[in-house]
Amino acid sequence: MSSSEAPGGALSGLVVVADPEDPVAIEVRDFVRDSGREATILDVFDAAQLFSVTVDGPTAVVEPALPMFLRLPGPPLRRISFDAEFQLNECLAHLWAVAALTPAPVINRPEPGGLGTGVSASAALTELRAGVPGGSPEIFSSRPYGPPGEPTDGQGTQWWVQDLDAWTTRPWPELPDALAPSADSSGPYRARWSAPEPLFESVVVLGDRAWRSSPADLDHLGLEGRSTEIVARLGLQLSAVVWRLSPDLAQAWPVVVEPFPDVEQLRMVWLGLGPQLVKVLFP
Amino acid sequence: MTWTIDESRVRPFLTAAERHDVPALLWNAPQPDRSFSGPEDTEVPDAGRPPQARKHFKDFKDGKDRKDGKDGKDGKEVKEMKEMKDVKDTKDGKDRKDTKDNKDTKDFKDGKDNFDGAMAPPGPAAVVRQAQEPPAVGSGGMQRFAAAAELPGDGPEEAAAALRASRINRLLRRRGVII
Repeated sequence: MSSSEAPGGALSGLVVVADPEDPVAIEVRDFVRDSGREATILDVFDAAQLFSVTVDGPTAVVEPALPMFLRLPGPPLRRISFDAEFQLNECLAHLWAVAALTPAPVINRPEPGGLGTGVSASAALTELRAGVPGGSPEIFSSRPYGPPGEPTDGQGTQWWVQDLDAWTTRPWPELPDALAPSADSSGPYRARWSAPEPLFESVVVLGDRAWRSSPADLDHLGLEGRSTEIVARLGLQLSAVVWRLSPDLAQAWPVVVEPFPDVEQLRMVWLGLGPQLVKVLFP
Repeated sequence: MTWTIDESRVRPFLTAAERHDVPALLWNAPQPDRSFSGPEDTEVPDAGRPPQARKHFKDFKDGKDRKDGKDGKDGKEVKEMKEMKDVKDTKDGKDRKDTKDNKDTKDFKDGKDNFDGAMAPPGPAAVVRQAQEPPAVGSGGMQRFAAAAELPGDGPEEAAAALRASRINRLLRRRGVII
């Protein structure tokens, strides 16, 4: 992570709190600047030092009140330095307060429960939190695990096993070397039902607006409306919902909710998303 | 009662120079590879390219107007109607705003419940996608995307074929089956 664009003077415009190398942060910053506004990318540490929160009686005042776009990095996988991690957590705690209390628009404003979202690494848990009933059973294990019985209607007929370390997915019982437990691939694993040749659609959601990524005629499925409901229940403002569709396109099931859609997903819907993003950030 | 701080006894945990190294310290330490595998993807992500060489969001078109996320083949009137329909379909203030009914407050009690231990929902840095599709180069790229998008869509089989050939499907399948 390189150092962010730590400002020398007073800031105005959009503050993107992200890894300065994040392609989405860069594109959003550039797009906002092209639209005639100011924007800058700050990492967690510089962003935390930019804002102050003052408690005055029953009110809390955040200064400066600037629109924010949060794409906060996940916690490091390994603790390298206690002091560095302590400082990171202090900065995150301050940013949580700033983003939660500021009256300015915030994309990915923290929920009262924390900086995290309702999205879990477990799709089944995410579905439960999103109020989406009856998904496929999901198994997390230290070794590749076969299906726990037969699938029910709509779950798909193929049991897929995902290596969470190598991030590869293979159909059960096919287990090439990449998935066979070895010194290079030790899991853990996650497995779920899906179709042998699944069809996907991605819907990008911003608030109460949604955009599908493909040109296929899928209006009858109402994916946009269903996606905004799911995203709202999970406490997100900008995210992408990936749907799996039946071969006859008559049914669709949410497969994954991505709280930080990547640049490729956002590019596909940018003609609609971009201007709406500017409207939301600068009402 | 007055209270003074003996500044000579206050020491920051990290010096200013050390603080600027903290991001590198935290995220550049050896960690398990989180990138997707895909033998045909060898492009370097855009972020490393100089600004003038990078393609921006506004330069990308899927060969059609995606302003309202719908097929742009209809005229303006229909598009406006569709946009209203979009808003109507996606805005259901009662069901959507009342998220309290749909929230298990226990889940949101503290940040830990939202980060499932080792299986934490990754931030954008952790969800490292394999190198993206080669960006569109001038009109040739846009024509390629348009061709992929404008397959005949008459009947569910043809529509499914069009969906399978769409850019988003190819992108998601290249990353591996999503489960």
